[in-house]
Amino acid sequence: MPTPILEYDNVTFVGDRVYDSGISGISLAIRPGELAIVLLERERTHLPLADLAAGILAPDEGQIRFQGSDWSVIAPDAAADLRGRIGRVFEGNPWIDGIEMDQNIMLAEMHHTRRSSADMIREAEALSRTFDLPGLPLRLPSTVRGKDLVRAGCVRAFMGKPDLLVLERPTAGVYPELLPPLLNKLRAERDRGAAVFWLTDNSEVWDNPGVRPTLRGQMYGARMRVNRKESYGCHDLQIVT
Amino acid sequence: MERSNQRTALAGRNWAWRMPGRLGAAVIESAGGAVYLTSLMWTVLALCIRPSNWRRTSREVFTHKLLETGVNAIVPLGLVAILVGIVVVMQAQLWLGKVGQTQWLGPLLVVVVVRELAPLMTNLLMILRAGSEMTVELANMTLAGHVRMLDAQGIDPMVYLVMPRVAAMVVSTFCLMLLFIIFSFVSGYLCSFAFGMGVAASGIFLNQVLRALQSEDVLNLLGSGLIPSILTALICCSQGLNVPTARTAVPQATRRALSRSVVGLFLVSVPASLITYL
Repeated sequence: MPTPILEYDNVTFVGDRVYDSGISGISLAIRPGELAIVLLERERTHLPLADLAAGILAPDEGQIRFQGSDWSVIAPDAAADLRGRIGRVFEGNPWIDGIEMDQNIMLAEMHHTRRSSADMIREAEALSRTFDLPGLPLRLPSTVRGKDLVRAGCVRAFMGKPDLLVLERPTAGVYPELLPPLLNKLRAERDRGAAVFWLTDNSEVWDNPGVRPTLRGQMYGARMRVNRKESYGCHDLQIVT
Repeated sequence: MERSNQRTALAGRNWAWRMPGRLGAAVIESAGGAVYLTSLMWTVLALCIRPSNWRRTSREVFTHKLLETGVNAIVPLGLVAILVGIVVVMQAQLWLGKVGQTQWLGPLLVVVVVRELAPLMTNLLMILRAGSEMTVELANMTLAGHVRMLDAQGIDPMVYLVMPRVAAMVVSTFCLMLLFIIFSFVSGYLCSFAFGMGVAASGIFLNQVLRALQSEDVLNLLGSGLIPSILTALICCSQGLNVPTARTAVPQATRRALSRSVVGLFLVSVPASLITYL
């Protein structure tokens, strides 16, 4: 069995004013090609799960391992490079106001790789079309429509073929129209070997058979109830483009 | 009545006890701040000298900030320098001419303009323009969660936000100081010439100034000009990044950053001048 890309081992994080709630005793593992989807409570959508997965928070108890290594023992420079392998749709307003959208989208790739700008722009344009944007947005974030910002958030997350995708409510405000392109893209990424950790507060998304999760979780306060694929059965559905 | 007297005596005694306590707390806080700033300065210097930290994202921020803090400040700084030049150079020429000591014109101008005014005025302008902007920008980014977002993408905020800003501030300050000196000498000379104050030929004037310029003047210029600019950038960045989680905290952080930067400027400038004279 391959090493999990992301593993929570009995993780407890008491809390921070930044988040709606802490988490307690959470254990789950996501291997290459797997998808874990977690249903959040409506009034507690901003949890430290994604930040813990990225290793920018240290858990109060337990361990979080990325590609088999505990974040707490990885050197800061190496940890920063590893975070470059995580694509993420961020909760809130995750756009730096002072730089244009295309720069925002390509920022992590520009920082971590030596790819040519033309190559990155080609990939970003293709992803923009995948997520129903007319092209790569070039304006400042404050001048872009809210729905387009959400779509651009997906473009950024998929840039550079990441090993792990952390999606924090990626369809918020664009459900259901964003779901088909997102599921199609996720299927391709999972076939490539990427792992997906999807947080949603939309029970229709969570229940959608097209998501084809290998693990389903549901938050109850600070705790999570986890079901693996074997326990609830999963239909392999084809997603129509 | 007696009880009231007792209470007053007790309050007096408490006050007497509290004063050294508060003084001690203030000293400890200041010392802690100085230690923090020193460690931050070494961290940034260590980051700066590693070429691998100058990735294209950091280079872009550096270029952008150089333009913002340096090039955009040329006009306001030029105006200040021209006015200072008119006042200082004209007066120096006038009074030294009246007492028949025009041979001291060069040394006097070097002492006043190069040693004192250029670093002081340039740094004050940088604190007002770049320092305030830096603090507000970083504080808003912190409150909006953008710093956390950068960190989550593996972009070290020290490398992407702090290091290029500090470097841009230092380079801008250095270039602006040189421009300040040039602008003030040229404006002062031209104004004296225009008012017919019997100035020497431009070549002689330039020769007087350059001959008066000693190596310690250059060292003083670098010390009292560049160290405060590093301090300003570090103070403003740290205040911006450590802002508490409330929008109302941004003006407070800016006020704190600017006042501390001004204090830092004088704390460096005065000893630097004294050391040069000793």
